[in-house]
Parts: sequence; C-alpha cells; structure tokens
Amino acid sequence: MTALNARLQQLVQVLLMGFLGGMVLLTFTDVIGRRLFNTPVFGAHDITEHLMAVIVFSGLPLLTARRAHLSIDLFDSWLLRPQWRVWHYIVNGLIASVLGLIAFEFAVSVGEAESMREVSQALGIPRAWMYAYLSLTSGLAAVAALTAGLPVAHSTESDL
Amino acid sequence: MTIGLYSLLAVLVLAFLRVPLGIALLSVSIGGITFLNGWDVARVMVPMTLSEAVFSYELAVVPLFILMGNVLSRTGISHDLFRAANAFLAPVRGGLALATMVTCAGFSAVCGSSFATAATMAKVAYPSMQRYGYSESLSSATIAAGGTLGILIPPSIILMIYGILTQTNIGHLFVAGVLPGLLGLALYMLVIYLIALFRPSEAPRGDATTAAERWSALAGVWPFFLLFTLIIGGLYAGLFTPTEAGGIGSGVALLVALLQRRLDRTVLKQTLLETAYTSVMLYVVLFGAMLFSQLISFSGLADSLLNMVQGSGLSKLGVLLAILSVFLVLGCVMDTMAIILIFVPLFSPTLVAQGYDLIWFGIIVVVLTEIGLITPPIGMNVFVLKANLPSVPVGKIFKGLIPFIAVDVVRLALLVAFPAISLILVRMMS
Repeated sequence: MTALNARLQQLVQVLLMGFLGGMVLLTFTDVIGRRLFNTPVFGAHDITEHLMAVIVFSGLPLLTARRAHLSIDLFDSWLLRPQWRVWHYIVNGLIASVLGLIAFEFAVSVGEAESMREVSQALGIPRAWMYAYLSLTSGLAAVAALTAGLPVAHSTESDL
Repeated sequence: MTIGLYSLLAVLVLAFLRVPLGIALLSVSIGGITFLNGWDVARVMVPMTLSEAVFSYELAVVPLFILMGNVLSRTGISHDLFRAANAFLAPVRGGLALATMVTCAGFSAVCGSSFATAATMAKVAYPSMQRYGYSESLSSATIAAGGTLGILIPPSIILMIYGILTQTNIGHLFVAGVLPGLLGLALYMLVIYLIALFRPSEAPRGDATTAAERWSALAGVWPFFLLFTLIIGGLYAGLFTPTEAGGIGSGVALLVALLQRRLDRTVLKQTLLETAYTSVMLYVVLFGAMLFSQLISFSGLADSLLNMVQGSGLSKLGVLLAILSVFLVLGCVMDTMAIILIFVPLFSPTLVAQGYDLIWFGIIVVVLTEIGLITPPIGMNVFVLKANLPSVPVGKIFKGLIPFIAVDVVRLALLVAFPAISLILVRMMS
C-alpha cells in the first residue's frame, strides 16, 4: 500500500511538472506569436484555463496529504501539545468534509454539464470530463485529509 | 449583519486554532450561506465559485510569476545582484548595508515574496556584513526591513491576490507599486546612511573597488534588468496583460537559466514542484476568500458597515484613518495573506462609496502589512530571519528595526497625503 501510494505521488508530481511546464511554454509561445508575428496559438486561453484547473486539483491531494495548506502557526507552541490531539483529528475531519462536499458537488455537476452539453468557448472541450476529474481529485484529497495525521511545527507556513 | 459578524469571528477563531485558512473560510462560508439562504443555495455556490476561479485565464498570472521568482531564486541572481551593488557601494560608509538594501529591492522585483527575500538575503548578505564588523542589530534589521519590499515592488503575490479579490487591474496595481517601492528603498537607505554617519562603529567602510571590477560585476545582472524592463515596460506600454507578462517573465527566466547552465534537471524539477505546491495552496485560500466575499455580501455586513460610517458623522479622512488603524493593528498580530483575504472584501465597498481609489488603497494596504511584517509581537520577517540566523536574538533585530519602522510610518503618511505617488504612473498609462 505504501509503495503504491509513493508511486501514485510520483506520478502526480510528474504530471504537475509537465502541466506547469506546458502552460509556461504555451503562454510564452502564444504571446510571442501574438505580439511579434500576429499569429496567436488558437485556443491558447482555453488550454491554459484547463491546465490551471488540472494543476490545482491534481496538487490538492498531495498538498492535503502533506498538511501543507496555508495555516496560521502563531500558537503552535501551545496547539501542538499532546492534549490537543483530538482537536487536530477534528480539524482533519473538517478538512475531509469540506473537500468531500466539493467532490460530491462536482460529481453532480458532471450530469448537469452532460445534459446541457457544456463545452469550453474556443475548443469545445466538454466540461463534464473536467468536472469528473475535479470531483475525483477532491475525493482523493478528502481521503488524504483523514489519513494525514497530526501537524508538525513550521510545516505549513507559506513562503509569501 | 449579525451573521456576517459571527462568521468573521468564526473564521478568525478557526484560523488561529490552526484550521487551514482556506478550509476555515470555505466551511464558515458554506455554513453562513446555508443559514441565510438555505442549503440548496450554498451547495450550488460551491462548484460555481470554484469553477469561476479555476477556469480563469486571468488567475493563471499567479503560478507564472511564482515560477519566474522561483527560477531566479534558485539560479543565484541574488548573489550577482549583491556583488554588483556591493562593487558600487562598498567604499561608502555603511556601503554593505546599502548594497544589501539595493539587492533586497532588486530581488523583490523578480521574486514577489517578502519571506523569500529575507531568507535569501540572510544567506547572501549577512555573513559579509559580519565579516566587515557591522553590528548584529543593523545587519539583521537591514535584511528584515529590506525583505518587506518584496510584497510591494512588482511583481507582488499579495498585489495579485488583492487585484483578484477587488477586481482591480493587476497590471495597474503592479505599476502603482513602483514609485512607493522606490520611495521605501530611498528612505531605508537614508536610515542606513544616517546610522553609519552618527554611529560609525556599527557600519564601517568596505574595500574600495576599481572601475573594471564595477563593470564586471554589473555584467552579471543583465537578466534582472532584461526581465524587469520586459515585465514592467510591457505592462506600462500596454503590450501585455498581466498573465501574458507572467508567461513572458517565466519563459525568459527559464531560457536565461538554461542558457547560463544554472538549471540542471534536479533544480528544474524542484522549482516546478515548489511552484505547483505554492499555487495550489494559494488557490485553496482564494476559493475560500471568494466564497466568503459572497457571504459578506449576502449578510449585508459590508452595507451595514457603510451605513454605520455614513451615519457616524466621520469625515472622509476620518473614515480612512479608522480603517487604516484597523489594518495597522491587524498587521501586528495576523498573517498578511489572512488580512487581505478576510478584511479587504469587508472594507472595500465603504472605501469605494467614499470615493477612494481601490488601486491606491491596495498600495496603502500593502505598505501597512509591510509594517506589520517587522513590528512586534508577530513580525513574520523577523522570525524568518531568526530561523535563518539562530544566533541573533529576536530583541536585537526588533531594536534595530525601530528607525526602519519610523520611516515606514513617514512613507505611509506621504502615500496617504499624496495619492499621486501611487497613481501618477497608472494615470500616465491610461
């Protein structure tokens, strides 16, 4: 199970790097084409939007599993004492509930998008597939929240 | 209004109890909207708000600029900048500290993060200052204060988030940040110069450099000038949208790093992953903030605040000063991002109704949070520095920061009294 988990994480990391690199390449090429040669990449905005969605929701389970969401660690010296363990499990439950709700609502959106034949503006990419992906990864993130364990000091402050 | 107030309180309590900020905002918003408009409305709004955020070309600006900063941070541009600034300023009394400040400003211009600037400069500049006999207090305070320039001098992550939340033009916000950022740099340099003048033992003179050394050092910083000119020049001339500028910036940064052989496979992998994680983290808090803005709107809290202000008899300036005081106090005890996400949507309708410009206010809020980054008890930049320089006592850093905080207050007063400092370049653009 641990080996499978590690493999999955590696796969998602490769996907994340590929999608992000692809997005940079696409935006760069599109801007150069648009501004210098008056020939933008057709559907570049559409692809960028979809890549953004894929990047954010692919990274969500990884971020959740590592307890790396932006948190305020002002009272860590107090909140990380053993007597707060139950509270942190409740927090994990809250994170899982919110992510689970997101997963459920995107699953509902799949059916709605199919029935309305909702597609993207330029390239006509069916939204139902995207919603299904967002639902799947949010669900995985909810599971990751339940198995994430307890927070550790200085693990969650963002680098802003 | 009551629900809005309780929700605000609930978010603050949950966030301080270590519930991730995005989850605190999302859960309270879902609960509040359910209470006000029913479960059916709340559950429909969740995927709607998230889709709106995630399928947005404009929001792709966030990862693109983060990637640019991460590429440059990992390719040693901070060392090149410090070498160049030092070559020109070292012979002056306090020159090393002045060079550190210039490097902080330069690094901020490509990085966009205060913590990253402070952490990087602690490694690059602090050892040199210690070697030349600079006092611990001045050395550490220079880096902590210089780091705050990272969130004002464009591109700035905080300004991007502010722009998204208030639906103001991110390009205009970036251009508006240029002069206040330079003013901050000039005032900080004045502080260092005066300290060196009146307490020479704290900031001795460095080694003299030859003209050849100065030109050779300058040759190493061309990528920095190229990127800054491309991004700010492109935005100012209306050549690029902010997202396009981010694409060009990150693309050119990657190309330069690859051509200079400063980016091997491992570093590239780390850079891309770090960018992806930071972006995901920011998107989650953005999801929460966007839904929370809806709750604030449904609850009528922002409108009630506006009515209260209008009925209070306070002058336009009085209202502004009251709001600024709230932000100043919050800055001392709360995380910068949390302040922007929670309180900007609450106060922005009041400011707009009073006729204030939201681009100007964005700059003011960032300057306020900059002050918060170096004031006790929280002063996050000080703690970032402490983590990188464990031997320096926190009290010494705070003591050294007093003159820097004083000039920050002067800068704030100047920006409030003369909005043109922030807006003149934006107006010239238009």
